[in-house]
Amino acid sequence: MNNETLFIDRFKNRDEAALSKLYDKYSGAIYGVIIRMCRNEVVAQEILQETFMKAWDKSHLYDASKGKFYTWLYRIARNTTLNFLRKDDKLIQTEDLSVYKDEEESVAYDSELHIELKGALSKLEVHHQKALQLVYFNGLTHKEAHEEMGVPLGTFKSYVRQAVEKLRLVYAKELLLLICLIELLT
Amino acid sequence: MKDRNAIIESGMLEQYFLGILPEKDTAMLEKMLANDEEFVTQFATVEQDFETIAFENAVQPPSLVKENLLKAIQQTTQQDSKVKTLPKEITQQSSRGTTQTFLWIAAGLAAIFMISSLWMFTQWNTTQNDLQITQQELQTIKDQIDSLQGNLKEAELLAAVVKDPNTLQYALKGNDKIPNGFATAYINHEDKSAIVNVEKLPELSSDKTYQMWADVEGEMINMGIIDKSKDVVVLQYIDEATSLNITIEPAGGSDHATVSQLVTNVYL
Repeated sequence: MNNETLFIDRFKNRDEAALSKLYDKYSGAIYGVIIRMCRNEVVAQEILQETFMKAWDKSHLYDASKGKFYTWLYRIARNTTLNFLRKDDKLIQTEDLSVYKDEEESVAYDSELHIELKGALSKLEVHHQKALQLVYFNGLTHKEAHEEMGVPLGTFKSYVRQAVEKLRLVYAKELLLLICLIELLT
Repeated sequence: MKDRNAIIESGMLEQYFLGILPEKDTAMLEKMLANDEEFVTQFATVEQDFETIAFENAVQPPSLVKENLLKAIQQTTQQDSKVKTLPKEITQQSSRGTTQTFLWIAAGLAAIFMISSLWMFTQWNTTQNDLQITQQELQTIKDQIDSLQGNLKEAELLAAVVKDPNTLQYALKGNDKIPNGFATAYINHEDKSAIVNVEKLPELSSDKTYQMWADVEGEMINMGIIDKSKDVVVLQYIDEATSLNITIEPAGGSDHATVSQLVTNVYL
């Protein structure tokens, strides 16, 4: 049993130390998703806390055989953020997916946020990048996202699929380079 | 069911990861994930890809968030433990309270039952007494009615006899055995009836009775016992009687007149 599995088991048994460890590991990744969805630091921090609170309360429901811990956590964060955005009438997600308090008032999103895409995703072609961003970081369904991109649903689905395949290749190459580097160092 | 490759190519695994796959497809996919190892591996790859993207694009939240989270969780845990402790007391109190309430209700019902039973018993006794009294009164009234009816019959009989022009009236004055005694006999030879008013005959001891006789050619013929509870007594009419005689006889009467106990007589 690796450390993470051990922590998850302890987390399911309401061990606060295990929660702390899992938070340390996943909070950055989850916060990165949330803040890109709501584009507001204060709101994103509230949602992040709520996400982990929900995970804590429902920890007994996590089933490792149905998916990774990150997947479970991501779904909670995504739903919590979407619910927040839907509930808050003042926040309107506009065409460019920025979030405003309302059309008359000042913009709610923080323009100083440096949340541009990084890593392998940033190296993909624009339409692949955009497709993944819409469904993964903006919480749109495929139907919403294909309308957003102005392409047919089937085309959009293939964009997502291709983007994932390309990312996988990039990761494979990076892994290969890493292995070679380790080999050279040793 | 779609085959594995078709599902992978359709992007359903990515949609499933994102939590946006329709329910019907989700159920189908989860069934396949539970039974197809290759499928599980494919999904694990998708999960890993998205996780890697997230880690590459991670944004560190301020440390305050973690502090707040842990505080909130500790508060929740404390509240939970309070709630977990309280229920015992509350449950005990409430179960004690409930039991006591039930006992009070039971005691109340028992008291009401006892009081109502006592009241009903009293009422029943009273009613029984009332009923007895009523029955007695009814009996008395019946007796009175009988008596009145008897008196009425006697009065009617007497009236009928007296009113009849063929009726002869005979006065029987008591001798020294009953100095103040007096009886009146009414004889109707036409319809052969005989009645006697014995109201003025003195009362006798319970072992004695008056009996009336008709003298026919020297022989005392029984006309009947005189019932002293009545004022007017119907007696047997005897043809060719020459006198009427009243004697004192033992209770129940005699077959033969005790002449020594003759108290009055009258010649016809």
